[in-house]
Amino acid sequence: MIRRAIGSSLGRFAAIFAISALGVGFLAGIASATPDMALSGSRYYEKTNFADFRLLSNIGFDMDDLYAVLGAEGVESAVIYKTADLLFEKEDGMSIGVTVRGLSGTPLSDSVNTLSLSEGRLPENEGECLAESTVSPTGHLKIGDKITLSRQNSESALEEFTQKELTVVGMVENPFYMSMQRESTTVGTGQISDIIYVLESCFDTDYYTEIFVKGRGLEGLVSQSDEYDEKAQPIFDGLESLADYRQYIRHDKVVTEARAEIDDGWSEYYEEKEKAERELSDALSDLEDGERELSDGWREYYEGKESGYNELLNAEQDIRDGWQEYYDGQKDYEEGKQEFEDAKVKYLDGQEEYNEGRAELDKRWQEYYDGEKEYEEGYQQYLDGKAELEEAELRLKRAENQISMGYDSYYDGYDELRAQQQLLDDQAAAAARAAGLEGIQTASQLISLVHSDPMLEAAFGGLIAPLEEGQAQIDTAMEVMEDSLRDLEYGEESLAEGRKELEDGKAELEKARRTLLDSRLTLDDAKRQLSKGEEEMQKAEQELIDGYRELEDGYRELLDAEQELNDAFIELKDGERELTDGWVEYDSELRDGYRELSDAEQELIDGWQDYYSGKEEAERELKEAELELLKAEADLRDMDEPKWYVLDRSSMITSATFQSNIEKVASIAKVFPVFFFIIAALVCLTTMTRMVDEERGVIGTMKALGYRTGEISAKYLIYAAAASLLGCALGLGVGLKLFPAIIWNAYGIMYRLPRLYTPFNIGYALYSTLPTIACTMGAAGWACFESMRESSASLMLPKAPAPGKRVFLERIGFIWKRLSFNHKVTARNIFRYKKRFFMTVTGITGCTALLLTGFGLRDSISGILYNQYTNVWQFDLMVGLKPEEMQSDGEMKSILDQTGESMIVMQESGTAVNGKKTSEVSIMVPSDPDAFKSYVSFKERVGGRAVGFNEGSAVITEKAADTLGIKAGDTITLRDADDNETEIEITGITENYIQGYIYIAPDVYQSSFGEDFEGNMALCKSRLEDPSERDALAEKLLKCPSCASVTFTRDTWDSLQDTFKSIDMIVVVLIICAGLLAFVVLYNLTNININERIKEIATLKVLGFYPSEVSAYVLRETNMLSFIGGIFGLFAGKLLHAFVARTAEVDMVMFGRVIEPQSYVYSLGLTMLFSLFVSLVMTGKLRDISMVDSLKAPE
Amino acid sequence: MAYISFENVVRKYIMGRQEIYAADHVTFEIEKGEFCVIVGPSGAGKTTILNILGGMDPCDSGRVMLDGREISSLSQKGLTEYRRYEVGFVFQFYNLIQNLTALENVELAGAICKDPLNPAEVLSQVGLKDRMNNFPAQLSGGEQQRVSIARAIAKNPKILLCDEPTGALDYNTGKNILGLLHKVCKEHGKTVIVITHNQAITAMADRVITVRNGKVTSCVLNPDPMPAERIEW
Repeated sequence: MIRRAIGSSLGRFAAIFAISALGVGFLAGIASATPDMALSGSRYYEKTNFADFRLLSNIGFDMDDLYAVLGAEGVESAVIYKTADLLFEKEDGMSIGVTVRGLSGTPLSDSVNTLSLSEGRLPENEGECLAESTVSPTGHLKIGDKITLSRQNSESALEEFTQKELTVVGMVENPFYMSMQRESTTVGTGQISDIIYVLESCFDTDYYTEIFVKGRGLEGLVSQSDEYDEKAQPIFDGLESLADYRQYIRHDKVVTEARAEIDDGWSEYYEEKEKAERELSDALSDLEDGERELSDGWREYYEGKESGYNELLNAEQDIRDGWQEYYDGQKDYEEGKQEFEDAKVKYLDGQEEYNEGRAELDKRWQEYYDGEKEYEEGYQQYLDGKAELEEAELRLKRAENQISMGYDSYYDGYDELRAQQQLLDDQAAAAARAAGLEGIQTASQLISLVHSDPMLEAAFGGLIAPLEEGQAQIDTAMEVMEDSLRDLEYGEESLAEGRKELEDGKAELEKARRTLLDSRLTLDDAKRQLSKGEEEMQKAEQELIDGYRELEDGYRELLDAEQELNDAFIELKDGERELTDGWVEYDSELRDGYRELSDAEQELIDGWQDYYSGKEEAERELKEAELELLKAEADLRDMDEPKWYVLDRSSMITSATFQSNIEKVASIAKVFPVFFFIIAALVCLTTMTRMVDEERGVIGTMKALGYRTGEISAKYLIYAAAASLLGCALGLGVGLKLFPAIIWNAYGIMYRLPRLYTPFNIGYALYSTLPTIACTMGAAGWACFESMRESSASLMLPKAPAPGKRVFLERIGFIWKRLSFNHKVTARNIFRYKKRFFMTVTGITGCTALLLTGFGLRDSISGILYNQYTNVWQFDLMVGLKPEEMQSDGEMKSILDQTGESMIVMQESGTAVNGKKTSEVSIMVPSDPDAFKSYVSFKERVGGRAVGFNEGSAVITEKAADTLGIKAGDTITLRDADDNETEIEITGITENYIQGYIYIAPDVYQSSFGEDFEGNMALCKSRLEDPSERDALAEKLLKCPSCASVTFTRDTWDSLQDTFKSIDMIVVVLIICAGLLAFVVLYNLTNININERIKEIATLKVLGFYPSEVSAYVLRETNMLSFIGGIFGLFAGKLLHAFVARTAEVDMVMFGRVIEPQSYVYSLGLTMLFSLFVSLVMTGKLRDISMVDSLKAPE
Repeated sequence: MAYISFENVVRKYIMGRQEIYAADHVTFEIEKGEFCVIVGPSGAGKTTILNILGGMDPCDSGRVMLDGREISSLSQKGLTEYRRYEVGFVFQFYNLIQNLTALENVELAGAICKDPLNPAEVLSQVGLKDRMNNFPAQLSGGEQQRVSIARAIAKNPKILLCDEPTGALDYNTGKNILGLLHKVCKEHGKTVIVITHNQAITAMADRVITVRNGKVTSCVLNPDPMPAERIEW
């Protein structure tokens, strides 16, 4: 039965289905966008280990601080960084503010704020860097870009950052920079456009600037949820109390180090000063030496020039002489040769003569040798005789000797024997005296006595024997002696004989000797003559040899002379060549010498220049160093109280803005979809009520047949439930994915979006589904219940048609009468069914309001750029300036003057504070406040009343004023980028759309900040429409030394236009949703309308109305209702838009509050278009209404 | 040739596999100015005949002629024009536009035809001179039927087709309405065709066509029609 019911009223079922789907999808989808975004953000944070806390310090950190932080309660991990905000210049000369972060270790797996490399590679040396990939239109860097450290940076920054040129080799994503919003900075224009990562070694500092901390026990919690905050708080407190004492430790160390450094600085200063002075004086003396050397050099040059010339002339003369000599030599040689030949002939003659003489001499020699031989033989004979004689003489001599010796030995022996006899006689006398025998003198007496007396014999016994023996010996020896004396006498006789013979031989020999001597003399004469001849021969020979030698020498001399001549020839030739070379060399050497000297002269001049400039520079540098040291002294004295800043996620720009944007979405989700949903619910309710009403006859019949109320109601309840449940399912299925994704992507303007998680959010599903189902079922139930109260009989009767009534319009007769008949009907009909009228109008009002809100949001957004860049800002070019170069740069001024009007302003970033409310603003101080009004339009947005700006004014922009909750006349605290604070009275609030500004007259600036106006930007009205002209101008400007950057608002406009397209997306979705809703509502209401009036329509057809007339008759009414609803919708839409625009706008921009007229036209037009389209669809349906069937049944 | 003629008109409906002939070779003729009653029991096919004649329903075969014009061959547009200019309808349930006064209902019909009669006059003629500015809900059934008739007459049609004009009315009112229709027929010279299951009404007709099971069983001229007020049932 239900299926049949659905089949028979497919349009209605589809309407409930579609409206439920739209309402639920939209409500649940938009509502769950908030938690989905929060969850996705948190998941991303978790994945990338996004820091929970960030520690900053005005005095830097060291590793000990990191260890202390790591040791703090609840700290899971922490990393420490070196960072610096620096100005870089791109290849096209554009200056950009860059946050430079040091990388150490493995940055892709850091435990906090893990980087992920999206493109390229990590830097391998100090000349390479990574850049943060960003969605921001002001992000500049891409892989391959080269940037140069700008000389605009402060001295200390240039010192601390060693790398002058960097090449981007990779793109990374750091969760800390998920948002495209960057912190403000003190460098350059106060804007950071890029983040780069370099090797930590590029920093020449010993301190760190930042610590990121990840807390323990915070995993899995939705970032900045209550639970998160509750758990994070104690860790935060712990870090704060750690900071309270650590900051002083660090401070003391820094002060000590600084003191030491300054002292070192002073000593270095004095050293350097001394060194410089020494070096200068050395240089001076070098230069003076150089002067001297140069003048010597010149002198030498001129001398050399002359002497070289003379030398060459001499050499020329020498060669000429040499030739002369050569030819003389040649003649001499020829003569010598002739002489040689003559000598040779003479020599040969001599040789022949010599040979003849030789032969003669040799013959005479022969004769001589024969005589000599004869002589030798005679001489030999003589010698033999002489030897014989000598031998005989010798024998005689020897015999003589022997005889003389014999006599000697005889006399000696005789004496000895006499002695021996004496001795023996003594012995015998002694012995005889001993024996008493006197008178015995000799031994022989004793012996003869003894032997004569035996008695004595006995007495002398033994004594007598030796005596006897000795006596005997002596006697014998006496006899021998006698013999030899005789022999001797004989020998003397024979000797005399021999002597006589010898004398004879001697005489004979003498005679032979005389003969020999004579022949000897003859021979010697001959020999002397021969020797003389020989000598002569030898002399001749010697002469020949000498002659030969002479010839040889002569010949050799000739050869030598020839050689010499040849050599001389060669030498002369060489000499000639050498001479030529000599001339060439002479010329070139002269030139070289001259050049060398000129160069040296120039060098010397340069040297003097260098000396003077070096001296000046050294003096300046020393002065600077002194000032710097003095400044360091002062700085140390003035050093701030040490302060650590502990920041949690609500103070980190990414998480803070992300959180606030999530809250914004939540606030949109609170109104827009609820309104949407209410309309959807209302339409469902109407539809169900109508359905039950239409079927009252059936209900009556069933009731009459005895069905119970519940059973009858069940059909309608189930029908309602089925349609709305299915619709809800579809709506949830699509809406929960689609809407969060669209909103999420829209935030791609500001964030590098991580992956979106859209879990099925049961809470929001129920929150949207339950009311929808309750509404449809409740409506069905209520209508049933109402119907059931009637009796079945009355139910079966057609419900009495509402009576026709006169309408108000009829009272205005003149209009009424003029109305065509059909219009009268329409007019009456419209007011006939009040309930239907009310529902239709409400539904359409809602749809139109949603459409208008959508279109209005588009206007608000697109108006931002248009208003900002054409209405609010009358200038179209901003030129960043380098103040210190401006004095000297006349070119810039002339270019600007040619281009159009321009004005120098000063811009810096700052924070406006009112109580607890703060707003980031740019402080802009014009040089001429009165003229400034032609650059920035000062007027109130509402009413357009002009806001005064002149001396003494401080005007803040509207959004900032709203955020701060202030009005003109209030006083706020203004803090500049250097943290100087001042109170400023706001004199007016002006219209502005992009970012916040506070425009301060220069006198106010000076009196409140106590600083002088120093322009860093020129605003200019170039009025260039052609992009190529703009590029050309930019190029020209960037070449000026004082130009830091060139920005055309048109280019910013264009780039922002792209990003605004994503917001446009949301709006388009809103419009499409509103359009769908409008269509469904209109279709449904028209459908109901037609169903109620089928009979009437059939009647008209029977009466012969053309189909177009029938349609017009019925649908004019629908269109009329649409129109009325549309008009109401425009009013409602304006209110809704105002609300949504205010809650949905992002921090940076103020949405326009004005809805353009064409948006009203579009909204109403679209509503009417839908209405007409529905009419068109319905015309078909009208045609199909059968006259016959319709007329059968009673009303 | 007769003013109105049906020649072998067939109208059949397919109900499942069965063909049901609502009009089965219907043939009859009606002369101009006649007050004709088509009578038959419920479901006999009289409304079908009326619908075909009124240009609300086409026939499957046969020929329908009115004043020398073939109705059965007209296009949708032709049929609409035919209804618009040549036919006046009076329904059983009046089918007035609730949101229009009596006068306006009449004017509504008159607004679309070429030569309408003065609505106020017509209403006066049907006796509603004083109720002209009342809405249908403020009128009784008979009065509403009079408005309905006035609406039909105001178009100045060639024929007036009335489908059970008395079906929802009480006896006296019914008789008054029939009298009115008769008067219109005779005074305005319109051809009036009344469909009814009430045999009694045939007494006042000039011509009575009896229909049964989709077929015309008789078509007789009544030589002596009775005035309406004398009819009794």
